[in-house]
Amino acid sequence: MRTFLRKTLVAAALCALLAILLDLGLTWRSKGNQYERYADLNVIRAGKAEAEVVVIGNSRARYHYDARVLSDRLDRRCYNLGMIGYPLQDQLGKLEYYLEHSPAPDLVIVNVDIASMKPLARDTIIQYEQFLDDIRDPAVLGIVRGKTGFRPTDVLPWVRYAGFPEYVWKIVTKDTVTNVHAGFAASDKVLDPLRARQVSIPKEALEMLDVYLATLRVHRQRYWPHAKVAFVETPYHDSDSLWILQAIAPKLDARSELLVPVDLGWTHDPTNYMNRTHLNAKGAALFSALVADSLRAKGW
Amino acid sequence: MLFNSIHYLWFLPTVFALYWWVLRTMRAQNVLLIVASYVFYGWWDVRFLALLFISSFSDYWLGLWIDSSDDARVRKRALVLSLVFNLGILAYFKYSNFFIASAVDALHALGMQANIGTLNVILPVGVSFYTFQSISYTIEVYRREMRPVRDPIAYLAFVSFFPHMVAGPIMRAVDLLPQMSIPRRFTYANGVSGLRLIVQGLFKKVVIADSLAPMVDDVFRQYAWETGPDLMLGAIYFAFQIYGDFSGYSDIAIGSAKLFGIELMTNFRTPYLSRDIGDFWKRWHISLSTWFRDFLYIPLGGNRVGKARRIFNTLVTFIASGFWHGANWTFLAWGAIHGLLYVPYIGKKDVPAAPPGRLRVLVSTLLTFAGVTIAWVFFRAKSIGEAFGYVKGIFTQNVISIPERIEGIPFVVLLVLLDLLNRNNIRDPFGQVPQRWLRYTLYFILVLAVVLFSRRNDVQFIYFQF
Repeated sequence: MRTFLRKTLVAAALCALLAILLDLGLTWRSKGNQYERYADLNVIRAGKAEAEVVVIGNSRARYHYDARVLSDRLDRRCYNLGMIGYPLQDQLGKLEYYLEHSPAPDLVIVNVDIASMKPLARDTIIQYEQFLDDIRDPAVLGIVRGKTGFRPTDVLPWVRYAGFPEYVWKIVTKDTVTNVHAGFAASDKVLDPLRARQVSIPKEALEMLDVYLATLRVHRQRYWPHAKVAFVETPYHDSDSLWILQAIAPKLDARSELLVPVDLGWTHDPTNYMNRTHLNAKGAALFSALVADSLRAKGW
Repeated sequence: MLFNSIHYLWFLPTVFALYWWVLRTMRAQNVLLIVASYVFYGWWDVRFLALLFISSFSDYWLGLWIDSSDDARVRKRALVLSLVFNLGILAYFKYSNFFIASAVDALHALGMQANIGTLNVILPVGVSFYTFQSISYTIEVYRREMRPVRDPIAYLAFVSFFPHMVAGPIMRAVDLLPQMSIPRRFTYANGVSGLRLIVQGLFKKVVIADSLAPMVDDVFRQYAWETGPDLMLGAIYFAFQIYGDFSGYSDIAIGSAKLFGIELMTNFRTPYLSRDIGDFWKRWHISLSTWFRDFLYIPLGGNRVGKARRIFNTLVTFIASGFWHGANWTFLAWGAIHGLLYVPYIGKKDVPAAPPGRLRVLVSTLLTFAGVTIAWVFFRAKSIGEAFGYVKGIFTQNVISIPERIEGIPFVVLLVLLDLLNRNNIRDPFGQVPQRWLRYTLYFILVLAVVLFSRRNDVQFIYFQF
């Protein structure tokens, strides 16, 4: 029994040591990444995300806006705060985190998306990997601690990558352009027309529109009163959410808010999508250019 | 409690420590095993502990009753009572809604309307496993293959022993009960092979089965839009998902039992390397196939009857085996397909006149795998119509195209390699690797991979639903 226990404990200790070394290696590797925004919250915390135009929204915001295209076309610094899988409250939470470390922007582009209006259980973590690089940051830990899916052991080396083998693979191979942390998905994946189907957008969620707008406005009043809000419609494959903008139009506060119409005549083309609900790099560049042009037409 | 949960990581060493260092007498160890097993089971749902206890205790008592009489009628009556009770539990919890729905469908087909609602029944985890185990006990006592156990603690420990209670291996009383009635001894070799089996089982489940699961779900959900090659890959992925899932569970169960000085039977012997369907059933879910052989096929006449009757018995046994898995026509179809695949081998000798050549072995292995995989489509599909649609799609939907869903292939290859590595040493994986450094490297890779691939939410084992 003694030999068994001794050998088991030695093997466990060696395994733990190996885990620590691997974790250190991955941290070193991810820091050497060509994209500074790899660890989004780290960049914000370091004050390097400072911008005049920021984008908020869920995964559509994250994937559809190429901040570099926006920056070039608008001639202003832009930063994408898109947060995969999260509704407005969490998107505004991230904006708040941004405002703690950077001056308020002049313009906040709100990617209007029905999914952002869906109420989400506050104890749910979606796409944990967004927080992975920053998990030891007390502020981030505070956000995710106590939520379902987060385990106390997730602060341990190697264990924190549990459930995200593809993420480790991307760090190892430096395949970060397709990583969600890269600011936008530079994916060249094209939607297979065979799998393309109509996206169903539940119009009932519009009931949440008033709450959505009120939440946004209260937050603006409190944290970023001098910035303007630009509502932009998000593209889906073979579909659009124009009706949401139409619903917003009569409720618009013209002093601080503007609608940004974008020509979405190209939404049926599967070569712009990596899946049914997300653009690929080509689509993101196209869409970002259209948004920038529309903003310029409105004097931005 | 799931083997692949963080709770089990604490539970197992705690029970292990109490078992060997605090409670040193056999009876005290058995009491601990019962308590631990009830905690393990109650972790899922406390309400069904009573069912487990009643089911176990009634068979303990019926076993004594059978043995107490020499009157064949009394003995038979007690056995029938045991069968009715255990199969009644199964019928109520597992099949009642199926029977109601099927009756409604049948009446509807006859042009009659029936307004019968289904029952709100929750299926207790592992009920098919522990009832079958209990049944084996009373039958074996009835057949005088074993004496009934007098010690109720030993009997309760036998039925509820946590490593195998919820998903097998379905141990025969004659094999496991004696182990509960003698002092156990810890051996270094048992401890090491137990840990190796646990690590291998976790790897099969967490890394392989759980990685293939979302791909399989995806393909089966939208099979009408998938190409033929992708459908074929989806079916192969499911074959390996269920194998990794179930054999992984069995490995952890056998490994955990070894840590307590108890031997459970081998449940899988590299089944996808089988050369024919008969061979497959000697290697797949061995504890269930031998149960059906001994308690259904042989009582029906076994091999002692004419060929037509043997074919009938074979089909009945396979269909019953399919029905054991679940209350759905898809499982019956799965059993029937295996039965039909088995029929051509009835009457053939097991050992061929001359050893077959390598090419022949390869071809027959691939053909067997193809047949088994097609049957798995029926097992996995939600309905017979969906299964036929899926199989038809393999041969009709964009057949000449490059498959896209290739991301699961590495997991399939890994499982095949693991099988090839351990095929001669099923009960002590990696034990035959002579170099210590290589063995330890393998352990580390497996453990780190298990941690890396473990999901945020623990993924249940497929066979828990049966």
